Amino acid sequence: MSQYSVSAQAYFKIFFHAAKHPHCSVNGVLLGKEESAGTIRIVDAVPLLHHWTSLSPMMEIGLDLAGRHAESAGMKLVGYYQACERIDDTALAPVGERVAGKIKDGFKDAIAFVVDGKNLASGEAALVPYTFQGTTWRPYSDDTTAFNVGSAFQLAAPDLPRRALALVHEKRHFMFGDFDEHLEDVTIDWLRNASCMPPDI
Amino acid sequence: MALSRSSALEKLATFRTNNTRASQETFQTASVILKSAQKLGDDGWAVLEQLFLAAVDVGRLDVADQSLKQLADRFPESPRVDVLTGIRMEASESPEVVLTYYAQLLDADSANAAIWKRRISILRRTGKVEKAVEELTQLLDTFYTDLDGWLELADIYTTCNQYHLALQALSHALLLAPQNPFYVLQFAETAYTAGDLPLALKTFLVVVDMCERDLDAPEHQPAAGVAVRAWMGVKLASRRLMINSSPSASNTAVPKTLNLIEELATERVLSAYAAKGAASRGGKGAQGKDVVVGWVGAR
Amino acid sequence: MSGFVSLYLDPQIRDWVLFPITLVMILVGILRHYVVILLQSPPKKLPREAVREQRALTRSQVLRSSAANSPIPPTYYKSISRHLSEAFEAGTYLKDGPPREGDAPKAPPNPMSDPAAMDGMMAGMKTQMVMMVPQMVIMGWINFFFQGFVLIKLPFPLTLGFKSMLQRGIETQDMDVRWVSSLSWYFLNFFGLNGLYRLILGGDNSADSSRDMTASPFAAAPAAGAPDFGKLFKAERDNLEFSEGLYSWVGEGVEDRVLQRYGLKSP
Repeated sequence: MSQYSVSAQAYFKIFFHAAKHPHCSVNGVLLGKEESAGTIRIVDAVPLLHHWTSLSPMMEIGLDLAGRHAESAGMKLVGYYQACERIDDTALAPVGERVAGKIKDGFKDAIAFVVDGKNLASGEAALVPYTFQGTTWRPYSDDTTAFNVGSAFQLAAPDLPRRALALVHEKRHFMFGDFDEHLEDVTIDWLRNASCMPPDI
Repeated sequence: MALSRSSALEKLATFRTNNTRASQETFQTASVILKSAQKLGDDGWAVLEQLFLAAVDVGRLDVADQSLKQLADRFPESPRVDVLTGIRMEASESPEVVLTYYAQLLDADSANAAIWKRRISILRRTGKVEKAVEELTQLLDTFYTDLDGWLELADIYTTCNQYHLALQALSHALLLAPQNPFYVLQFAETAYTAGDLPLALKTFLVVVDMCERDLDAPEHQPAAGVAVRAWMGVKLASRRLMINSSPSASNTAVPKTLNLIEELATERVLSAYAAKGAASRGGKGAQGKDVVVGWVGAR
Repeated sequence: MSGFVSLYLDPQIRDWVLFPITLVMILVGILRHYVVILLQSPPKKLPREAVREQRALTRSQVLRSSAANSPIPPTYYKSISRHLSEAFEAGTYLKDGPPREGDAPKAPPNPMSDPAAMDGMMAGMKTQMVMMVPQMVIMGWINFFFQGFVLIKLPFPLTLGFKSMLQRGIETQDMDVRWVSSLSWYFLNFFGLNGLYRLILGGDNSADSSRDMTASPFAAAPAAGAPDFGKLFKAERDNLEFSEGLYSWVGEGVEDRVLQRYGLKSP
């Protein structure tokens, strides 16, 4: 089992995406690289859709563009994330399985995160990791809960969830834009979203 | 809050007419208004209803209970208040309890569409998708003009990978709202997902046609808004059709001018990204141009 | 005739006849508005099947209205059109389900025996009564006490044609048309107070009685009695067939239209 660490930038972006569209399901991809054998750093996230997440054309284009963006930044698509429209739903949607499967073709240790809406406000890491086990994507289970000490999943800093919450209170997520929004207004920088990140990142 | 009362009321009224679900904002604005004044007239009840829904949304059940009680005192036995009561129950009770409540109301008035729709939404939420589809189809059989119902049905079918049924549901939505390019776009994307590429290509072109119909010289203006998305769809579908022609379930013919269309789509997608720094774009250029150039150039 | 005042009106007529008539009529109108609100019964709830039957025709109307420039592709149009046509033929949308073989064709229901239609008629009659009774009382009152009274003089000249309108109840040939009799004043108020009511009670009020004069309680009955949907459905099938001939998809030739707009293809 590889070790995954989620950077502040990636975590904040996932968090912002879910916070900006609380009534829609949203999804996107994770960018990162394998630092050494078995250690994967998830550096960045690229938000894709929120209008409708189960139709493929814009997903295909978005994936392609995000892949190119990752390549130019020296990274790879390493995973997929989604947040459901209902906070108690943490199941990986069929479309998620397909996209994650596609990412897995290019990166064998691909990972999928589902945002856990109940934990968004609690200051805990609000991500449920899914890994490819045997033939299907299943929630990752281990002796230790994900993102706890000793787990294969780690945040870059333990206070990320609390900081993300504070940033949302500053309404930073309103400046955040995804591919759907970019298609309506091409000046929205969906690939980087630099303007809504705190200055130290 | 610096907002004046009338502008706050106006804002809430806009939210109401546009069906905007900006719950946080509604909640704050509405509670300020209701605190500041006693008499609002008939508008006040609408604001109260809005506040109730927003309060349930943001989880302030105490405020929700207060406003619901006021509404129920003023309008006893109103079906609209019944719906609100149901929504309030959904927030805290188990689905079974709420379903029984809705079943009672439907027994009394079997043609109460609002309650019926709430019931369907619970069915879908609790995973009884088949039952939800069955009831939703019945509802739409009775209330054909319910646009949201058709869109919801299409959404359920899409999540279950039943794209052809989704297309059927969407075609009813199109009939009911033929002027809305977003539904046409959704139809196109569903057709693409269903693998019916010629149909998708044509429908994407219909969206383009709808959006650019009123432009005088479209070739000199960058594509904007929905048109960008539609042109990207045209590009994607035509490119795939050029590689291999796929069969169409709806027997739609592939345009003979496919090459021209593909070139035009490339040009139009790039035009959206070429315009830089124009005042109308807030002085910012299009973002992520390089990856798009890479994408349209790829074969 | 003009130039000198031929009649002198006692100011007491103004104070004790003109103003009371006007005031009483306004008050009765307002009272009537509230009584009607009290009498109104909530609209009758229809069972699901009845709603479905009533609304079935909209389906084909929606489909037909855009047929010449339809947003949906041919296969979908045809399947919807066929489906509707078959359903209309078979009577799927009828409230009581499709007619069975051997059923005698039903006679149109008698509104007196149908409780739903009866209810509608009763409600209409109740509002009618609320209007008729007070107006009859006022008219009787005026006729009894003030018959032949001249109440006011209009400040502008009028032609003889207005005589019958303004001097009802006074059979005098030579009197100036500008004088208004008590009964005519009543009628002027009767038809003219609507604007005032709208000001006081809002646009959708039921104080105005002149509107109801035109509607008799029985005129509404045929509309309340259900139309024969079976026949309507059969007729709609022809319309559907006709529209299918008109049908063309908006996506037909759309690529050429778009190319033409960009000058890439000659029209």
